[in-house]
Amino acid sequence: MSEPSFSRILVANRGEIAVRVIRACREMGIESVAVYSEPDRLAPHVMLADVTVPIGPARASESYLDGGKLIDAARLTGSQAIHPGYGFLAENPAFASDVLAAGMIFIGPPPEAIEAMGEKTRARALMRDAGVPVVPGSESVATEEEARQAARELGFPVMLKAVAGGGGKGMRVVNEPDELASAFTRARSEAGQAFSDPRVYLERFLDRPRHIEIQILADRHGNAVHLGERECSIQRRHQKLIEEAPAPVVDAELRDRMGLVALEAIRTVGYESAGTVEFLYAEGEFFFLEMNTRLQVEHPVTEMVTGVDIVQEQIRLAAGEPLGWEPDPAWPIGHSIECRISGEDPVNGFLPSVGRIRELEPPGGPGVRWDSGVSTGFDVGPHYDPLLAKLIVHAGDRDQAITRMRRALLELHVAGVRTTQPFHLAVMGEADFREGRISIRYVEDHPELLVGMEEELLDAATIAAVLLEEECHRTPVIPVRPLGPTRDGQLSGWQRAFRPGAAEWKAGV
Amino acid sequence: MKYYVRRAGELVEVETTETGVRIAGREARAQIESVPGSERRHLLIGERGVPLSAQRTDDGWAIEIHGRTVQLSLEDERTHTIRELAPPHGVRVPREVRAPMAGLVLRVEVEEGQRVQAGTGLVVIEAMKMENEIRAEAAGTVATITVAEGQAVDPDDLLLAFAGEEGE
Repeated sequence: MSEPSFSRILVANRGEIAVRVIRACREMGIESVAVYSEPDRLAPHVMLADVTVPIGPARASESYLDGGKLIDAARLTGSQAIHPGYGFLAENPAFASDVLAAGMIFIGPPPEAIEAMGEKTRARALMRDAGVPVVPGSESVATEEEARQAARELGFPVMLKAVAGGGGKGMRVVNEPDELASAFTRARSEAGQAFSDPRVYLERFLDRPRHIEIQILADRHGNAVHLGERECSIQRRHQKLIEEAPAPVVDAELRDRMGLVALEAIRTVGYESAGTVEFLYAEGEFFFLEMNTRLQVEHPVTEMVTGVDIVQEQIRLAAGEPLGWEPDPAWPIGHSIECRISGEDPVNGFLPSVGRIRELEPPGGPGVRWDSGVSTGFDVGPHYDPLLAKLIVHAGDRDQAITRMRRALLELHVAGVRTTQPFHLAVMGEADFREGRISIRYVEDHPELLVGMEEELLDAATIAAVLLEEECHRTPVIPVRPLGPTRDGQLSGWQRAFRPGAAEWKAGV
Repeated sequence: MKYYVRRAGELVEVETTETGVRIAGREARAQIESVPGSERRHLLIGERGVPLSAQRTDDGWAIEIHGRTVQLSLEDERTHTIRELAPPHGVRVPREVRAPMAGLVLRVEVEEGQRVQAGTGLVVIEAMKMENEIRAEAAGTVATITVAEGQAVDPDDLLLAFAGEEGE
């Protein structure tokens, strides 16, 4: 690479993604500016950055979501560009425009592209017009008879969805014509209550589809490439938990087809920078779901199987450099899996778990990558996304990657906060996952994953507790001996004096 | 020593031996080492190593293995026997507190008229050279104390009584 294009970049985010961007900057010889809210003042992203700027209290709306403060911080520090990470302001077209208006570069797509893809129904219409396959559906239907007509055309089962919808409200699966009348009435009433708009439309119902997405990179000179797919079917309430590349069901031919469709999709909106086109895949067909106009949480699995540093590419492209390379036909090389380590207790319905991380030892060894936003002593609070770190592995094939992930998960040690570690361990050992039989309903289809605990581990815990308890009881009765080696030569007097509980014993003499 | 361990809703008897433990009738060689300055422990069952971390809780230990935490409440044999002898919890607030075993009253930890919470220590009885604290089963007001420090008691001797009007 030539001279660095920027000398200083402000990272408008926190946690593991801020750390990720700061690492990219440092490797490119660019200085990084971290911003932080009050509780994040000692967070790893702050400690790693070259320059740091406080931006307000814990509440995100007064810190990480306050575009004005971020732009002021960038100006104050002489930053030429702002990297938004993901979440917060990453897909906010107004913020992107404000950055440009302030004479700085937004490391992401043009605001118009963010806007075009941001509104789901508009994006869907745009894609349909561009010939990108979308899940077949009707216009909004006003009467039961219209609904029946549309259902006949689509073929059962169908899904009733609220036009104004989201979050599952007003959504109903209709398996047979007989169920349509009551489902239509209920969907309309639910939609009316939830969105003050009772209109519904029909979509073909996909049974247990997979979530498969294509990573793309585009420059402002008209060059664009795709880096293959990721499968992110293991999710809970639309939150991804495990991602992998390549997808078990995607072969070279399907990869090419999906890649070309993704490139067509981004051309339609004049896209540049890194982005992801998401699809639902079922029975050999794939349908456009939505586009994420930003860097994604799961980008590392693509980096592992291609060797491309997506964040560095994003920065380079933002500086106006041409893409300048072609994808390697040998991609994807090997297999990569990512497990999101979140501060959630999977044994208790994924309830958020907050507290101080008293101890943290990440795994290591061959093919293991640890992208973390936390460290020992960090207080995990309730204010932000529960994602603490990402554990990523790379190996020769999927089986080896699963074995490696299991090995790495067994090495991970976190004390103080409950995490999703045991969920991931359970999945790595589960037969359907190992065989690649997964869908976006995998988690609900496998309620047995965390029920009970292996008897062997339960016994180990029991034995540990008893031995520790015994240790506490035993300490006070160490026989009194003069200084010097004991008869068995193991403990000298001063060594014994520093044993836990020794003070109590002395006091008792 | 023998322990009664309550875990995930079941009660397990574990006895410590010279070289390890006897758990549910099976004998196992076992030892545990602590990593200095850390919650990490290394448990050896025979030659098999189990890395875990341990934290003390009010009534036992929280043991974490590979991200899963097991809460274990422990009672040694004596405490267990005392509790077994005491009237069952929550059925009826006991008005009288009686000696669960023969022994010597070492300390009386409350005064007449004192309001106590459930779990407050009332009387300490020394038996078999061990101190046993008798605690309040429920909140209430101590009405009369019928023993004094240094006094020998037999099983079922009245130690103290709670005020009658204190309905819970």
